[in-house]
Amino acid sequence: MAKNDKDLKIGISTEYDGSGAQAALADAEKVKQANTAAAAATQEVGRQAAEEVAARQKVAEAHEQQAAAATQAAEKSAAAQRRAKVATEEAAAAEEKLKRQMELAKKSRNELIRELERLAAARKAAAAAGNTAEFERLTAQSAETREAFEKLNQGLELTNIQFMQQAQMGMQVGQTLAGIGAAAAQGGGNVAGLAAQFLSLGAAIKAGLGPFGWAMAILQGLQMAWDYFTQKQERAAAAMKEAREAQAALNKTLLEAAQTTRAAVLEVQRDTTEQEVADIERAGAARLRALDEVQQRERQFAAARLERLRTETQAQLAALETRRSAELITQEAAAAESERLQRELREAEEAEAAADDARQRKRLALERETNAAVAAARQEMLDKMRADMGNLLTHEWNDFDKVKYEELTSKVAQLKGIISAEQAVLEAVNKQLEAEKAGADNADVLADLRRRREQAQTEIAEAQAGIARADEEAEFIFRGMLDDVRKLAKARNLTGMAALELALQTQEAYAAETKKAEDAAAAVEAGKRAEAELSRTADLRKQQNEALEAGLEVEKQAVTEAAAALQKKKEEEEATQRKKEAEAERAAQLAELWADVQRKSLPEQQQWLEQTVNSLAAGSEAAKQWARELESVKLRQVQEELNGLATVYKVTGHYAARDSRTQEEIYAADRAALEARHTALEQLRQQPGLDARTQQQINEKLAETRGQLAGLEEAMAASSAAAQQMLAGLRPLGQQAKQSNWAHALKRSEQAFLNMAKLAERQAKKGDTAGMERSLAAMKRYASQQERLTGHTGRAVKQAQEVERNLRAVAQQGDGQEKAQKRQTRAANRAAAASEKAARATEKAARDAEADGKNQPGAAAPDVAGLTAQLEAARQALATQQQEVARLRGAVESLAKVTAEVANAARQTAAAAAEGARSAQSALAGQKRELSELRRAVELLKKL
Amino acid sequence: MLNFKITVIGGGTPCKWRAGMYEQEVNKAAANHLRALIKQHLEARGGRKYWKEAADAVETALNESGAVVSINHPGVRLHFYGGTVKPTGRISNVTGKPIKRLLIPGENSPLRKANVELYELGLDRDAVRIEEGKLMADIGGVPVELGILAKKAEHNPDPTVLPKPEQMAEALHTGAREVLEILNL
Repeated sequence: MAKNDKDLKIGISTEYDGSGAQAALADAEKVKQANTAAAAATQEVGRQAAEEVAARQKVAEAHEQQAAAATQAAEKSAAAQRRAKVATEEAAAAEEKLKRQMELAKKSRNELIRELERLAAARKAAAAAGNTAEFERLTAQSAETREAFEKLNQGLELTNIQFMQQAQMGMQVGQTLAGIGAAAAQGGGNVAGLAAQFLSLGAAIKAGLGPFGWAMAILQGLQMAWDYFTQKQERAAAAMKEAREAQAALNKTLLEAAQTTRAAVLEVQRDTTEQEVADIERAGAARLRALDEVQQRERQFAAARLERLRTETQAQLAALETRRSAELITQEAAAAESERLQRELREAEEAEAAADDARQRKRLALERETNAAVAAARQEMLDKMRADMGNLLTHEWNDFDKVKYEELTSKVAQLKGIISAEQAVLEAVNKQLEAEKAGADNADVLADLRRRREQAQTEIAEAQAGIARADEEAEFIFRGMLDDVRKLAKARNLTGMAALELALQTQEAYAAETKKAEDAAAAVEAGKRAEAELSRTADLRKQQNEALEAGLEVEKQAVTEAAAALQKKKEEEEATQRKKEAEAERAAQLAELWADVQRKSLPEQQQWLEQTVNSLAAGSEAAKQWARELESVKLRQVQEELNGLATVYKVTGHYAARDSRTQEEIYAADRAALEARHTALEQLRQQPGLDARTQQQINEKLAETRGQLAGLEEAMAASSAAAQQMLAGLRPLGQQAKQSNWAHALKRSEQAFLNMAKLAERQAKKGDTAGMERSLAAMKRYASQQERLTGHTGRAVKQAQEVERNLRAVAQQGDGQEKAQKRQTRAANRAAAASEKAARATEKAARDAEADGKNQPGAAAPDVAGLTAQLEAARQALATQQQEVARLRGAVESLAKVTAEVANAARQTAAAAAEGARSAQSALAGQKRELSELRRAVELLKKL
Repeated sequence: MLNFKITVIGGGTPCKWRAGMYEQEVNKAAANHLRALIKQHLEARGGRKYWKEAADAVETALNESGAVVSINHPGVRLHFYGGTVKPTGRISNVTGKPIKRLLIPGENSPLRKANVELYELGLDRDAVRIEEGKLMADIGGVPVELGILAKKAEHNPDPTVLPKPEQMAEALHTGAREVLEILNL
């Protein structure tokens, strides 16, 4: 065993997986993207949270501010309440003291002494009992009593003189003084009033007070005391009022704080809701988009499938039609197959429509879902706001209820205080009155006192009425404030609520619209169902009819067999009128039945046949139309070609004319043109006001023109020299002029002849007969002139006559351009041949003349060179014309061929169409025949 | 040889490392962790001496295909894989003849107790005898069973000689991860 085998070994290897790395990278990228998205989402959430926190902080700050304001107001209110309390206490103490003093003042001296003794005993008892508060109270009371007693004594001393006489009055004076003293002790400030009291008292005493005077003095004292008390009451009332106002302000502040807080909270809630709504809507839109995409793909797929099915069905139908027309299968089988194919296609289309409906419904449901979610969110918010507003109003109502209650309570307390004070005054007055009555019976004084009492009562009543009015006023104010609060709350919530209401209304309207659309869709669905039901019923009826037909078919045989016997029987039997009527009735019923059957089956086939016939007729008509169009197009082409030919002919003629000029003429014309140009340039140069550039250009042109003129002169000279040299070699100089004249005359005559021929041709084409006649006469003249010149009688005239004939033929057969062209060509050929012959003759004549030149110096000799050139030109023109003619002939032949083909095709199409129509008609007739047979069979059946 | 393969799925080789270099580092670290684990495992197997020696014999080495953790101690492989042990035929120190049988010391054999070989006991050929397939000797006048003589000894495979495969894989993973973290792969 090898050593390695003894060891237990574990191998470790590492490899790097790149593909895995890519996948991991992709995963990491995905994770990173997801993380980014999550981070963004988190940030968004954070931002929203931060916004919410900020909003809440704002709310809290507002809350704090309002709380601080409320605290301040509360403190103010508390201070005012404290002041009010102190003032009330003071008023109560003053009232108490006054009452006590009035009690004391009512007491006699002995009673005062007894009171003092009682107080002293009570003080001792209190001191013994150690009750310090009671002791102090009793001490104060004792001091007051003592003071009253001293004042009484003082008053007694002052009225000592009257005392003996009017002891009873003195007692009253004492009481008055006690009242005065009390007033002085309480008020202190009204020293002048007090002094006046004393003065009046002194005067009264001095004058010897009568009962009236004393009564007046007492009443004045009481008046002062009451005034003071009333002032105190007013101060207390003012303080109370201030306290109440402060309380009301506090309440108002608290209310405002609460409302602001609620508004802020509502704002936050509304924002949140809007956010939620936006989220819902976004999500809904995204889902809708996704659904739309999916549905779009589905639709595309379905449409493609349907289209494929349609194509296949069409192909199968076409194949079916082919097979049927080839009579591989029967008409019925083809119809059944066609029906099956169409049914399949229809079913597929219906299925697709149903699927589309389902998709629409799905989309609608999704939309509705989103809208419902939005509406729910908004509804929730609105409910919340409504509830909150209700709470707010209740809260405000409660707060103001409390305020009102407090106000009313304080008013009642005030009222009670006033009434009790008045009653106390009244009691005092009554007692005084009774005392007065007991003491003296002065009617005036009594009446006055009674009047005073009544006045006091009236005042009390007035005060009560005033309080009631104030109460009403307060109530009114309270109501107004409550209204204000309601308006405030309403206005505050109105905007938000209005927006929400509007949104909700929109939502509801949309929901209603959606509902409507759904209802409509449901109605459509129901209609479709009903339609399907109807079609099913119709199918059922059709099946029944088919069954009936089959039954009839079966019975038809039996009927046919029995028909002969029945016919015999029928002939034997004499049918009565009633029977006939009954039969007619039944026949009408059956006719209806058959009309029904026919209606069910025949119209479709008839329609199909009619359509087929119509389409075939239309096809035939279209083929004819096409043939006509083709024909007209070809004709147009021929016309154009002819026009082109005419143009070519004209151009050829022009060049022929140009070439027919002599060199001298050409030179002369060129020279004339150059000289004219030179003259014009000279004149231009002479004109004043030309700039240097134009001058230079003119000079250049002039130099060029001069150069050309010089060149032309040289060429002319060279040509002339050459010609002269040639002529000099041919004949003596003396004959040259005459020969030249002769040749020129002949040339001119020929040219004029040709021109006239062309003119006559044009006129013949135009139909200008008179002009043509004139031209022909001229041609004849030129021909005879040529004959005269050449000495060859009859040739040129013959030629002219032929041309005339041709032209007349052209004039007569204006429509046959082709023939005219041919004739012209022939004529031209002949003319060319004639010209050639004439040229040859002329050449011969020239040669003869040359030969005889010496012997006959006066005779004219033809220009050989000119004649040769003319001949050459005529030959060329002839060749061109022959080519043109050949081309034209080919074009015309091809056109004729095409036209024949087109006509043939049209004829075939028309024949096919007619055949189709005939077959359709025969098919229709066959149908009708079948039906009539069926009808006859049914009638036989009826008779049976 | 057991083989473990570590596949690193990462963004690529850091440019400061040569290609293949970080694989070496990974192998080294993984092998060290595995060595520590196997050592601990063998020590924990108990026994008086054998497994401790085996634990000390755990070694690591790097080669061109990676790293190898080997336990260079006789019998460990046999324990792990199982198999048949036959005499090698080498010349016996005791008899001077080729060894034909295996001597398997019993529980109370002085060979086992003293962990020595036969010749180290100072016994020669005459001092030992064979009785009923057992090698006996008189030591101090007392017959003592040295061991059973066998033509061959068959061992069943014992997979617990090594830690469980998942434990080893975990150790390798830990080592590789440490390196990769350092390399920031």
